[in-house]
Amino acid sequence: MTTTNQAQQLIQIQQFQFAAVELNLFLDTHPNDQQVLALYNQVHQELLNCVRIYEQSFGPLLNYGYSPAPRNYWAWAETPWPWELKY
Amino acid sequence: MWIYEKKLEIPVRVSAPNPRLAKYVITQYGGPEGELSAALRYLNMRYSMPTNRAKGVLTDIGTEEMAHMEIVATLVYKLVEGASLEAIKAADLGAHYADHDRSLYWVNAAGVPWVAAYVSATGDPIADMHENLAAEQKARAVYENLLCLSDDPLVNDTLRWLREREVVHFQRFGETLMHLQEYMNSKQVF
Amino acid sequence: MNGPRIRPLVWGSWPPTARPLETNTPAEKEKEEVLVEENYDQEPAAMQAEDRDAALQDQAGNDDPEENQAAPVKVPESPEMKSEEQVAEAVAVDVDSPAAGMESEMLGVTRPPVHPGTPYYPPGPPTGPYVPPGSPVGPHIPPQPPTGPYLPHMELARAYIPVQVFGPTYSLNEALEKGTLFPDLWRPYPVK
Repeated sequence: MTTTNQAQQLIQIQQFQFAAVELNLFLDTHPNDQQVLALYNQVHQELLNCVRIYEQSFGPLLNYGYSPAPRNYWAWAETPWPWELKY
Repeated sequence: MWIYEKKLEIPVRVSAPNPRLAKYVITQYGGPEGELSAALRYLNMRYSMPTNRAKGVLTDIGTEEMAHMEIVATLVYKLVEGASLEAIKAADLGAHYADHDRSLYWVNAAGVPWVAAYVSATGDPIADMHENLAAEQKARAVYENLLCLSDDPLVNDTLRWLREREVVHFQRFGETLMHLQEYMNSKQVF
Repeated sequence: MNGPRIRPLVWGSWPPTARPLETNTPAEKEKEEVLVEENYDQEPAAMQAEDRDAALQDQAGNDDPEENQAAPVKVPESPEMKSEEQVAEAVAVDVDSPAAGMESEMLGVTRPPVHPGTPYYPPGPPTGPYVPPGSPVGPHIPPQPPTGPYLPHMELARAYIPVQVFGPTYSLNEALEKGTLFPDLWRPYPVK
């Protein structure tokens, strides 16, 4: 099945985010592991880059001040909601 | 405080509307071993944990369980959306439809609503961590039951993914248990 | 000596160790004969505290008769171990019985002799000085099994889960499909 451009970009964000979640949980129980800390920071940078690129095209991903609102209308509610998105 | 990220943790797809499968899958939304129970259990326990590490683990896994609840809700939503009323009645979801239309609600597979008795918090860190380990195993077992019941390969991908997350959470809670045991012994608590 | 006479199988150490009966020094043979006797009411002759200590210290020097019953690992005798034995003798009610057992050369631990017919349990790896239950050893230390069929450093009535060590990870898209970043934690469920 074909995935839209939005879905494809979102999948890339999901990949980085999921790696960050896994490393986050690992670091919760291994707080002094330097190698994993470095890896987590790399994933963090990549994730932020992907999120900023996505938000320029498709609107904010986060609310409550964590994403900018560059358009002249409040786009937070307008883009497809996660359970409606067809992958 | 929680902020919301407007995306699911994984891409979720279904092959076709299937209210009968939705009736089973909804047990992981509002059932005893479901993601709501898990999220509330872990997020509630963290206030009285003795160490920062335990609080961190419970917060992070509890937040991820909220994300999983969203995934299960998406599965149910997509399985019911577009299904005709006859299909809903044939799937024995007529009672749910009477109370809730096509809306989701926190019920188990038999339609019994969620209760707080599904969640326990004794205040003893060791006992509570064992409860978390058991909860992860129970959730994994229910996902395996759902995989037996389901015939939709795309839904199965998501169920399998959620089952694997339970395995990983079990490992993290296990490591937290080791840490708490060591902490409780060193503090000379009787 | 003083205090209640205790039958061998009730002694506090676990597991009860049996010894082959033929390779002992005369001092040990004497104590064994005392043990085998059914009549536990009599004070065994010539077994005063000083003699017992002397006999025990004699045994400490006897390598040969004990090597074939102790485990291959032999802990060299040191002054500290002797004092611990004496502490164990002085403090433990159970061990303070007539003919109070030969030492295990390996541990410096006093093991009471056992009733003939007890199955032989080979001692496990040493886990440290034997601390009899109830002895004052300071702040609460979780009870350690002295020796036996348990793994070292593990205690009863608690769960153990190994802590993960970081290793190779899946690629990002493979991790998102599988549900974990770590091959160690991948538990596939059979595809129908």
